Amino acid sequence: MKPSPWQFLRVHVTAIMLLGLIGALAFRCFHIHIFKGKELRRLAAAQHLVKSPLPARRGNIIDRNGDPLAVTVSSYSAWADPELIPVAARPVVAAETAKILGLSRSEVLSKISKGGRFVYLKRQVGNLEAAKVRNTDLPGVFLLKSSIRNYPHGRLASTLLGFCDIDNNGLEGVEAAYDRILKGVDGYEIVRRDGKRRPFYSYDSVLVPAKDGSDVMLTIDSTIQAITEEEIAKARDKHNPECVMAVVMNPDGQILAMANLPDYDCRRPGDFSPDSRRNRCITDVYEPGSSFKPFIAGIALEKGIVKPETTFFCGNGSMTFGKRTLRDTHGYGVLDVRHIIIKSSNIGMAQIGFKCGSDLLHQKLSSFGFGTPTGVEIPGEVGGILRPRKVWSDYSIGSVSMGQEIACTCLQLARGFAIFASNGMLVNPRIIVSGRGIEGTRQAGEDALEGIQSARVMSEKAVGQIREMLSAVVTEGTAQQAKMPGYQIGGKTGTSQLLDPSGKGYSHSAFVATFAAIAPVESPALVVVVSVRHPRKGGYYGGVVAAPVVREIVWRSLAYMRVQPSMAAMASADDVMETKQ
Amino acid sequence: MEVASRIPRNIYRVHWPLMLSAMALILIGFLFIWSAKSLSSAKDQLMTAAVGMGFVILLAVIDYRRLMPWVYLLYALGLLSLLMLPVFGVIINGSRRWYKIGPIMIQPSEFMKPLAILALAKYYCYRRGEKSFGTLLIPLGLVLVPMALIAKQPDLGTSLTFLPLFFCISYAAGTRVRNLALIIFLGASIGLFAYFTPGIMKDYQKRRVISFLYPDAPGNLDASYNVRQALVAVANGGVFGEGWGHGTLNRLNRLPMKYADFIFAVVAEELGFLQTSGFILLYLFFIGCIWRVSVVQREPFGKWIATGVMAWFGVQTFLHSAMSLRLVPVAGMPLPFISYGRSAMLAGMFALALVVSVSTHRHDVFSQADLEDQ
Repeated sequence: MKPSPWQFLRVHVTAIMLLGLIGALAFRCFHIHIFKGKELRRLAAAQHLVKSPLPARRGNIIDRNGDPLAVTVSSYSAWADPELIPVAARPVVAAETAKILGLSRSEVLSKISKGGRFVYLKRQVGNLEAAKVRNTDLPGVFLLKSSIRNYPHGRLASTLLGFCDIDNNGLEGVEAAYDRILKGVDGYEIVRRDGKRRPFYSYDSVLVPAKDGSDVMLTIDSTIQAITEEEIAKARDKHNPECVMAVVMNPDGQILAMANLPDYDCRRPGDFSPDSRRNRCITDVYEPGSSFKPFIAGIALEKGIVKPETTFFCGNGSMTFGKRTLRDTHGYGVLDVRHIIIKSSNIGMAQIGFKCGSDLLHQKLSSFGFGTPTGVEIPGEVGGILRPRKVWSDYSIGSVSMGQEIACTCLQLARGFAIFASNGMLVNPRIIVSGRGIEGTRQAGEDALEGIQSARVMSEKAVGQIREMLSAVVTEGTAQQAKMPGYQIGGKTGTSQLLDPSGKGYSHSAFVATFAAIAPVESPALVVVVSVRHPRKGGYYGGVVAAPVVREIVWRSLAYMRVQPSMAAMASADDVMETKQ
Repeated sequence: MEVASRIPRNIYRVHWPLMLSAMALILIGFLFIWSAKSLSSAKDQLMTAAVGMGFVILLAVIDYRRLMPWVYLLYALGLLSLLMLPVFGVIINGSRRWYKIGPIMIQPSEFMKPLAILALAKYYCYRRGEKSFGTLLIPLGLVLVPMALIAKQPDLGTSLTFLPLFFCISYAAGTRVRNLALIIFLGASIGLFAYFTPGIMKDYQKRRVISFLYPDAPGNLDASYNVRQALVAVANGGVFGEGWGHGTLNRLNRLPMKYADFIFAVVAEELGFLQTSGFILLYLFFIGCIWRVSVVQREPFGKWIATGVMAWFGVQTFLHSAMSLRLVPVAGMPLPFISYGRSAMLAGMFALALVVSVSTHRHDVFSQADLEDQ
């Protein structure tokens, strides 16, 4: 049967329709290729260009000998993609994961039952646990490389070092002060991701490598730090005080040890109260008490106002200045300046102070650094209290002369005693080693160096005289418990009353026992200050509570530092051994 | 009769523009399967095309009308192969569409398409301009039965391809437009009924429809992922394209089944607007050749075969590309001669062979030799 003409027409119609449809595709292509192209390409870029961070490794904190105090250890974070865990398998996966990571099963289960495609299961997972996770082949559970801050010496210098948060940002102490140097600069990479979100390296991938943080070298000597902490711990056990502070300093200002009790564990700072985390050596001020007397004597001696043998009548234990009556613990008659220091007479000291006058005292005490922060680069430092000259009252000279009406930090007191150890120069305490060939720390060290103006604040002659007095304090004065064989130590005790909690005057039961020392006296290698705040048993005098601690610290540290014992001191060694027994 | 003596004459008669454009398409397919999948797959596909070329040569020599007595039997065999799928077929990606014979996968639904065309062509061969609606039921049944079997696999895309074959051949063969419109109306009603009656359509099928209608709605971002990727790929092509083998989304494997269901997007990305237009022109030329064959053929069986094949290739080319361009909802459909797939390639080559045979033997009915044979 032959097709009719209109059937030919219908074939044409069919064909034209089909060809028209296909031809229309070209218009649609034009529309998408060209008109919507830019917008869609941007969409595509947002979709498959992924910027992922390359975290920089945090630098280590090391001591002056390179011993690591804080280190960065690689670790892992365990995370899960809940969508990849079949609902039926979730309880099993949760149980397995919880067992490996030491979490509770219900906690893991609730995490992987939520929506989303990323949930942290546990951060800071150690290598052993990570290996287990890897070998167990749990669906949807993955590991992410990260790092963890560790402190190899445990609690050593914890209040000084500070700690980091979980993202390795320094929050306190040295970790915070040098965060910029330690942290480094995070890098990033921009890579394409394929349909399964795997990275796909192509010619246009961008890689900005991370700049790892630099190590920071501290002036701290971990051995001396450990000695100091051991000794103050003994004092704590013996006297049950509110707190103990200790600073061990090189006469040129380098801090060798800075220790506080209570302390804490840098690895889990959250478990301790903020009180335990404070670096009290720089944040807490107290009245130095009698340990302040050498400064007044030094001023008077330097200006020629008194000579060591100048005598004063000390009123047999009680003397009235204007409306105020001062008392000594023991009554003394006539004492020369040397013995005023040795016996720690408040009355004698006040008379020296009055001879100097308030203007000279205020000006010189300011130049010793009291009332202003030392500038050590640890956060939280306070400047202590040296009241302005114009608000001084009639009593002020007497009070300041015996270390009242003035407050300083343990570090400021150590800095003050460093004047005697460094022949009259005021040094700036520092915690960072300068000029060592470690990238980054050099920068920091230079910053620290710029701040140093070691200015002469006392004449060498006066310093020599004070040193002799300090040494006599130990041999025949209030600090005989600091005597040790082989080294001649010089220092000054202080027993200051704490303010009464009621707010009315001084407390009669709460004291700060202080001993500040330089050793050996003839060529000082160490400045040591130990303050025990509110000892509750075993006495409260500086010479009883603090001096033995300083003795042990100095004795062990000098031996560690291989400082040659002096023959003169050796001669009296038998003496000492006897008193010890 | 001596077949051998006819070969030179038939080579002269072969519709060369048709053959050459088909071969060009196969070569482009080879290149883009290479780019989107792998060289070995591309070679594989080329081997399949070579086997298919065997059909073409065979049918170029043998008169297509010799198939006529076997048409319904072949059609029945095709149906049988679809029927036996639930028993012997293997399940891949959740549907049972394939037989696995050794390493070779065979998809009977692809072969069903040329067989349905043959069956429809034979049916309309003896009828012209049927007036009553009732007579449409037989050809409608010829496509609805395989459609139902294929839809059950499930493979909605392939199943729906049969409808245009029916409409195009029936329309060209002279069925009343009113009756065809009635069928469309009924079909649309049933479709809407199926969509809104729970349990008939699979959820993923509904999601595709919804995601097509509202592609950027937040809930549809997952379901419209494929289409958005395809659209982005096309946009990436720009005017001049990213270059063969350099398509960004192609390299990133962002397009699922890009070597089959979304190969047009790969082509568009790597060729760009200008060359893609050329590519579309090549298709237009190829289908235009079949149109020509259909028009010049006076013998109805061959005429409806050519019309059916034209409808098949045309509709599938349009739908495949339109899916990548977000003009129609996505339902996996190969681009003839380009997409990777042995069964589709073989079935396509078989259909091409039929058209070549129709064109080669278009005068034979009037030749002296044939008259003498009878």
